[in-house]
Amino acid sequence: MNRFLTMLGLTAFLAGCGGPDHPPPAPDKAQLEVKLVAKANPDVHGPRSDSEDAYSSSGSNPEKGRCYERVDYDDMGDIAVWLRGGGLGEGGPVPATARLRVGDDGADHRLVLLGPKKRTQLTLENGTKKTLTLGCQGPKNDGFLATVPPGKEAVVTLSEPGVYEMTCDEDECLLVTLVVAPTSWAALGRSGSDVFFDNLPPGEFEVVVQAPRLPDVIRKVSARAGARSKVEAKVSVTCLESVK
Amino acid sequence: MTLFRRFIPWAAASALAVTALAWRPFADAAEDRGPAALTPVADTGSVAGKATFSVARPKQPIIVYLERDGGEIAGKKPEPLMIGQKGAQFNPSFAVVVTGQEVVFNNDEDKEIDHNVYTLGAEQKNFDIFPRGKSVHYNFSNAGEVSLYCSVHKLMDGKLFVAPSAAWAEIADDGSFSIPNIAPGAYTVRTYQKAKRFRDVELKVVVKAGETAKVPVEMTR
Repeated sequence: MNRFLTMLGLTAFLAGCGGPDHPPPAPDKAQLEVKLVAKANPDVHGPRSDSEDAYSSSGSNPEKGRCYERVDYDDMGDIAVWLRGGGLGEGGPVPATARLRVGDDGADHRLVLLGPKKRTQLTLENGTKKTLTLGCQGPKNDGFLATVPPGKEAVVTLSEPGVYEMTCDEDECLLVTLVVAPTSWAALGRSGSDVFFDNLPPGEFEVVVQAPRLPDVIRKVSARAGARSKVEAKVSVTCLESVK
Repeated sequence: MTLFRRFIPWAAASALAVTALAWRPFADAAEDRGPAALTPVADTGSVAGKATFSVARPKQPIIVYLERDGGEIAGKKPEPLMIGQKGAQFNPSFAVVVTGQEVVFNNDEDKEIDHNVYTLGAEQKNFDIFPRGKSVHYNFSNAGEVSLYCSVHKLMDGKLFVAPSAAWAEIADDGSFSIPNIAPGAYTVRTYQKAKRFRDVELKVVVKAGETAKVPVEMTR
């Protein structure tokens, strides 16, 4: 019983603190917790029994099964979250480096998050046995074109905020979305987890969430000094206009 | 991804075949005037040229298309474009359609496999789940790039370029292009690249009856 009460008390304490993983906010700064939820179309059912064997990755034809690989909404990575709005300033957690490996099975990420003004160095690693030509061109004519020999790397940067599609001359199917956030207040997350921004200047912001192959989600948030704001972002195709 | 790659030649051939199918009504109407021929208009001109590239161009389509300054370009609506989904692949994986042209997403799987096709880009729509043997029909009304996805299958990607009119042509391997049967008037020439490597071009051109307006399309980075 004592143990139960202790646990109950501890739970209440942690709930009051807003969670065990993050420190309380500084008096003059705000915190923001973005909960990432990815949802499949609720009408999607599993493969029907007669197709499951032949078409699953572990079935009689795993090669074919690969084509039928399903989107795992419960474990979706490479979800970019960034903030926009006045007064954000510097100091955000956008990574200084990012890495993308291209192997025989394609790229190891579908989306890469970069900071603005060449803040993030993107290393392109060629894990194949042939030279790769990787490039992109953004909406404001910013871009790169890198020729990467087998087993080698190239480092590229982008300046203008926006969404770029990196393609490969040698592999028509390779497509990686490069998101250059407009501010340094940007981070990557996974479905079912939170992205946490600490020491945020108080103010009114928009939270933009972009998951690979899914429509953007935009949420308005008011971040107050000394407080933690929470927002849930649900990425799903169900937010699109339905056409029957 | 490996199988995906094996499908490329097949998908490319299919794309050509289906694109040719989409062009057929123009050929019927204009008889051997080229795939992008518009409905014949008396005393028309054409726009043609040769594109140059500052670096090697990717082996992916680059489209030249026209927009009429202050108006629309009349033309016969192409026949519907059928996009199959067998093997959890869009077939064709890329095509050019025209605003108002019907696109048919056909679940032609040979097994009982559902697809949930949706689009992002110039027009964002969810076509919801449809089982094998069913299809959905849609007319894209916004010009621009449309990405095709399936919410069930993670490798099922495709693209459409929705051209504002049938006045478009793909730049050939040697850089040449030709858009015939254009009514006289002022136009803007633009480019679309499936794999974006160059700055897109925007040029003004005046088409005169019986003449070919030569357009230098310089693709630079």
